Amino acid sequence: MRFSAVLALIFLVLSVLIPSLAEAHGERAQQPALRMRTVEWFDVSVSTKQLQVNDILVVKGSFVPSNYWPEHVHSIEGASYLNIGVPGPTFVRLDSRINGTPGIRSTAFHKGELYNFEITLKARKPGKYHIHPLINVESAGPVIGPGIWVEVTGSEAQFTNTAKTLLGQTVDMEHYNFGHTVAWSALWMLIAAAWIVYWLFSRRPLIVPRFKRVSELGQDADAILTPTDRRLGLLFLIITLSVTMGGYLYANDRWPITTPLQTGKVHTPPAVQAPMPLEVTMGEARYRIPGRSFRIELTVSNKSDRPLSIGEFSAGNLRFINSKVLDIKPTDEDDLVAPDALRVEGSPIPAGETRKLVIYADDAMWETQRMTTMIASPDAVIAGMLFFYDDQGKRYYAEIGGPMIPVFG
Amino acid sequence: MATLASSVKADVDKALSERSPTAPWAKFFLATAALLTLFTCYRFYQHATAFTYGLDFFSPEFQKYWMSLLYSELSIEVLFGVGAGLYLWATRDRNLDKIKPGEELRRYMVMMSLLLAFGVIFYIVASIYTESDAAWHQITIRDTDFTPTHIGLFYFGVPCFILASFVAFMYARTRIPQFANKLSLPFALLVAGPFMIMPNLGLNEWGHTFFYAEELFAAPIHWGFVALGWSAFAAGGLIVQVLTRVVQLTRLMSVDKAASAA
Amino acid sequence: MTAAVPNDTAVTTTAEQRRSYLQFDMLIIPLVVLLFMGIFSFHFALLVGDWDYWIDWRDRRWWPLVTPLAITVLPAVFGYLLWDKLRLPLGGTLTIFCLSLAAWISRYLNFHLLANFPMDMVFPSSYVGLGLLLDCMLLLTRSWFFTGLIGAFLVGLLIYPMNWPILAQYHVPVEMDGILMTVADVFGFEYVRTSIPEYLRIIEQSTLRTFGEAVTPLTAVFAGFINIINYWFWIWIGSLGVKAIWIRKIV
Ligand SMILES: [Cu+2]
Repeated sequence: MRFSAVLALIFLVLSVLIPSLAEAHGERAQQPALRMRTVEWFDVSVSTKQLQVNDILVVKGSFVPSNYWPEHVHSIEGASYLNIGVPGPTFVRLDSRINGTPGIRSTAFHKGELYNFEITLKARKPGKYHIHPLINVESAGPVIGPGIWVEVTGSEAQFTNTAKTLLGQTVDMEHYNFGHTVAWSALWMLIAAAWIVYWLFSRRPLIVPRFKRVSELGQDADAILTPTDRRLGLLFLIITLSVTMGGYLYANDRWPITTPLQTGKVHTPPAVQAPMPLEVTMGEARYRIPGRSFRIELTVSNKSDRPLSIGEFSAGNLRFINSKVLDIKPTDEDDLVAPDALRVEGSPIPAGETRKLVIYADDAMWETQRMTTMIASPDAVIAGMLFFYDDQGKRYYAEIGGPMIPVFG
Repeated sequence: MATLASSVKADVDKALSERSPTAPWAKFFLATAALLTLFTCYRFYQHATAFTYGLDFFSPEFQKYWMSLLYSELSIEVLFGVGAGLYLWATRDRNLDKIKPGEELRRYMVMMSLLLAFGVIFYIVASIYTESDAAWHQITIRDTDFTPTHIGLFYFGVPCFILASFVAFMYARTRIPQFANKLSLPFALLVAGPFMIMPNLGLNEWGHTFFYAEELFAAPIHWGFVALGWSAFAAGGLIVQVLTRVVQLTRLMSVDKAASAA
Repeated sequence: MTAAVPNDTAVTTTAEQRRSYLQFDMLIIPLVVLLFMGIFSFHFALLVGDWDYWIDWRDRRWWPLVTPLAITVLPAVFGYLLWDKLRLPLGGTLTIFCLSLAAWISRYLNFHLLANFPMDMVFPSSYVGLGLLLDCMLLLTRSWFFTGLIGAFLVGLLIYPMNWPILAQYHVPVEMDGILMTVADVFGFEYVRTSIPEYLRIIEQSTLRTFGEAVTPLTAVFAGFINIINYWFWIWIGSLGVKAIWIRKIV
């Protein structure tokens, strides 16, 4: 006890030394390298930020599983499931679509492919929630998307949710035949209680004298049992078997049409991606710890017929915006958007040219979101998404990735 | 059931009014009431602060509402355990060979009521607190070993029943002849099993961190806890040890002589 | 016995003796009830857990196999104590009654109040009849061998039909987004379980040799068979558990 407490205390003192700020829900705990190299999320939005119980909330967005998915983490191409990162059924999920395919079953997502999702939720419990889209990856854990604050008001008691069966009945999901369920459970408990009361309370005192008597009788201890005991044994056996059989027949009669639980994995076809008329390779990537500054060298070939500028670099759900190209403001205090944190040297890239560029993503978010712990990663490789814009505002994206070197001074 | 309850109550009243030994019921119910209050308050605290300040380990609110709770409960537990152990040892009965049967019987009743108090805590922790941990981790995203329900289960609930079983065990070791002269293996198992849950946390947290990413509750990673819980299967042996001695201590001499003559 | 039988005694009259006996009834009966509630809940949560927490986990293949194996352990272990030392055929009924009571309390407090799931999604199944089967069989045969052979077999066999009056309504088909579902599956999809994704459900999983209709009866008979051996094994553990062993020191 003392030993484990001391150990726990040592652990705790160490963990408290880690700096902490702002709100989040689990995402900051994951290794930065994992956050950057698993899923590239973008365009995540909610249909409303203020709603009442029973109102509908649509969460939309897109994601591309990273080409730099770490070898030592179970792949998203195994089994995965698009989920929603709210604490339990504070919302119910009425519908979930990925590229139009229902997201009811588990599926697999493929690296480098584009998936557009739309999740329809209905508010159930009042409160303030940080809504995250989330992908559970089998044996790897949850990959958490960007979070948006949503506030639900109203009364939980007003919540209703129904389903319609193929037989035409309407099911109240909140209290589905619950009286019936309780009655059956209670019936069994009452039968059992009768048996227990008979044995434990019909003779008092019970334990010591019976223990004494059974020890004295030794091999002949069965003599302590009375004919009434045995008759009751037979009676309760018959009751148990009859209620079981009767209940089974009754249920078959009342619900003649049933199907087994449905499970299985479905194929979700990737979305058709517009051709990306550019090629990007990442050169040296250095993260300067004191300046919270990431410097990345790039080689970009612009194969389109218009000049291209880099508007955004996004890595591990942190968005660094080039304010010369884009005007994006955080939607709330925890939206991880740095509106003027991306500096680009060498942009725009004229049509048809190949150029070397340097980008600087400088913001305190690297630290507040615990991304700086990437220097503690056993596999110092990063990845992120670059968003390019031509002079007409058309957007292209490309994922970059590769080794990262920390700069300590 | 009402007649049953009233007849039990009548028996308690009657037993209390006589001079032959009875279990310390008043103290027991007082202690149980205090324990229930403590565990209920804890539960209300958890309900009020888990969803608001307990979702992000790296937030200052988590440190304030949860980590400080963890530090305080761990310190109180250590102090209580050391204090209770030292007290029971310092006040041990040094003349156990001269104990009268009436006193010995009374001490068995005290030991059993201490075990009953252990039973109250054990039920609350092994059922309600354990499954609150299941429910919590299935609806949230684990981001630390010290989640709100872990702070309640592993660093409050489990230490509480370890302490309760330790106090009952120490009481028997220092005050009841049989348990002082020899070591009851079933009793030792009953204390050792729950105790081993704490070191087994090492396996649990290591597993959750490195090789098991899912929140399936019936997962092999949790089976170490099951095996330790099974140490309670030795409870039967302890009950047999107690009953055997109680039968000896409550013989009626005349009846006994007749029996041995027969 | 290690301690000498005392020459003296703590009681002088039968009334005093009776009083002492009653004291131990009042101490031991609640103690075993609390212990059963605690140990059984713990054991069951960590071995069956999700199959009993969620209505959309109670399938035809794994739930009726995993559950009898886990649920027979305490009836056997403590059944040995209660029968061998006290001749009370209560091991099955009392332990499972305690489990069910604790389960209802915990589902309400934890899965309903704390985690917000509706009770009709997370209520516990009815198992206490299985305990009655074991106890009645033990009382009538007075034999561990036959109780295992018949009683434990029935436990595996009847777990599904015993729960069918409650489960059937959840297996009524529903169409959702052009997919066939049951009411239970709709619960699993709609009521968000953040960290229990669909693929984690260990249910059904068939092979090409699984001939439609035979799933439930096959599982039932197989579960019954395994459970006979399971019961005998835990009876043996129970016989070790009641040994009043005294040792000299901690080794
Ligand atoms: Cu969040």
